[in-house]
Amino acid sequence: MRRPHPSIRGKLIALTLLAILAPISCVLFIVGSNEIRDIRSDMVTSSVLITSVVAEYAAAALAFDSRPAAEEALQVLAANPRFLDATIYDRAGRRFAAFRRPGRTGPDPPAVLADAEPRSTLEGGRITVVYPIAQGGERFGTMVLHGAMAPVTSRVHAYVWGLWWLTLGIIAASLTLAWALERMVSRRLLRLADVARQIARGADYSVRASDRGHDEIGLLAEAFNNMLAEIDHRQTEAREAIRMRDEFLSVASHELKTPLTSLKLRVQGLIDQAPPVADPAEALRLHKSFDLAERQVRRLEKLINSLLDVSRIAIGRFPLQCEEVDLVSMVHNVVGQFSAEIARSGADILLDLPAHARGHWDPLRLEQVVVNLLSNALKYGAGKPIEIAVRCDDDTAFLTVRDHGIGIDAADQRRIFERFERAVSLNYGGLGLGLHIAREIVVAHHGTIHVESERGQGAAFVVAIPRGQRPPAELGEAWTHA
Amino acid sequence: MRGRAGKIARRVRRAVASVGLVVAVVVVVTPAIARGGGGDQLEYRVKAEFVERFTRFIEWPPTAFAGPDSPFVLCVIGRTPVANFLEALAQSRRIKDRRVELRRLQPNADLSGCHLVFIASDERPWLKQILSRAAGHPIVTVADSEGFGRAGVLINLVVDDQGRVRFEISPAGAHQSALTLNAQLLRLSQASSTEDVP
Repeated sequence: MRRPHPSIRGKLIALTLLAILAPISCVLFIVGSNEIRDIRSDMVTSSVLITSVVAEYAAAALAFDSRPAAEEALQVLAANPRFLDATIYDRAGRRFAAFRRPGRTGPDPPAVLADAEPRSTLEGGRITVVYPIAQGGERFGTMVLHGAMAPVTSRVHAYVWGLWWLTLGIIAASLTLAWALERMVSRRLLRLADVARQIARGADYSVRASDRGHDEIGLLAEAFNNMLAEIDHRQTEAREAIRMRDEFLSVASHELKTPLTSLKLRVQGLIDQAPPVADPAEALRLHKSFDLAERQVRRLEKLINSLLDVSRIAIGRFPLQCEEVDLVSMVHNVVGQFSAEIARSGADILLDLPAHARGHWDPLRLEQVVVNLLSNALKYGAGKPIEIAVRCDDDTAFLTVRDHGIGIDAADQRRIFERFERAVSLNYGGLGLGLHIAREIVVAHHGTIHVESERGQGAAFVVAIPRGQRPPAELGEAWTHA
Repeated sequence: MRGRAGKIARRVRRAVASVGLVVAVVVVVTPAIARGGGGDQLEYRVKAEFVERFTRFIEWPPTAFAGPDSPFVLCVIGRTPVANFLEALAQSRRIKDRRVELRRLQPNADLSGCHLVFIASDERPWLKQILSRAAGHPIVTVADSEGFGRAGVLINLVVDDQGRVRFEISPAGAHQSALTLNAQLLRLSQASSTEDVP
């Protein structure tokens, strides 16, 4: 089953992800960066604060030159591991007292001038605070503190992790949401499409979409079902009409056949039993009348036979009686039968035939094909030469009947093989059954028939028919399913 | 319960008072003092410097000054080499953002205008009277003589075995009058004193 690309499911997932993830990540980013900024500023503030406290503690020690007291004041820093080292410089910039966290490596921090401005800097993951030690307006020295920014880093890591887990959670939530939405929308649409596909495959209009929803898709399914019901109804009606027509055709052609047979016999009897007429003019007039009557009866018989054939094809009663047949001699026979029509049309018949083209075919039916194609060529050939060719290979015999008449538009070339169809106007007479019957006979022999033509360039009908022995193909499909 | 605790506290305080004062020791810059030869001069200069620094850690009540322009009055009673250094200091520095006026006084002089009184060691006979005159006024009394701390002088400068100038603060004096002593100053003296008091 091919799905549209990208699918509604994909779009739903993408949309929900976007709708949830985008604002939450924005909020998280803003909150996170604010938080980190706050932590940094808190760290700076607290570092400055502790430095100021120690500086105040150390002021008296520095003023009265008590190193132990200054070192004791610095010991306050030991409690917080993020303070790495601190140094107190006297007024002359000499190192007076220092605190160094055990295990801390690296060179001593550089000396700081006694009159250094108070400042705090964040650099390379470390915070440096420089703070004056003063009392009563008198500056006694400077304190320098170094602190680690590790808490900030770990806080950032915690945020990144939190963000990561949150993203995963959101993706899971989006997938769930998209799944739910898909159940609500996409799956139902696909079910509807499945029903449509089922109908297209099986032409069974009795199936129905089973959606019970009351939303837009439910309405669509309902409309879809209504449409199916309507089609089903019309289909039944059409089938019924076709069945009635077939029945009428069958009955009519049979009913017509009976009086036709007696009419034919009577005309023949009249011709045979006509008393001789002395007056040559009268005899010629009479002969012409008999000839006309006989030809009209033959034409009527041909039409009725066509109708009978079509109705037989339609009900699938079209048995082949195959035997060894020579297509070449059959073509000679048919051309012989048509000598009068050929003469009347003024067309030359050009034959391109091998010595034999034998196969296992129904001789009467195959002759009907040749007859239909030839009479077609005479009818639409505009008196121009008609070429009949037979070719043979090991498996297949090919019959080509080519005229140089009005030709057939490409658009009409499929249509002409259907019942009651003609490529041209009704001026040409006939029921439009000849090519249809020819095709059905060829198909029953497992063969094919096609036309090669252009308007005004004549037409070539090519029959390819297997020579071997095969059971007849099912007939009348086109009829019953039309 | 409370009464008993209060009694104990009072008794402890009396015991402390009876010791006189807690000796506070401060380690001081000048190893040179002990080496003699101009060392004395250095000692007096350091003492004078200390006196000036004490003023940084002590707050006088606003009422101690007559007006915003009135000077900080440094009084010296008796004869001491420190006075000369104090005089130099008074000319060159400002204390509490005021000009400094040095007054040399007789032992029986009125002390009410003084903010800080340096009592020389030769004033030992009149020490009690001097202290009683200072009592009740926001006056910081400073001396550099053995026993003066116990006698009631607020800050007594001493020189230790290594020749370093140290100071003792009398807790009783620290609590009296309207003076505010910086906690670190007290702490400095007390921290050292625990080492020194046997």
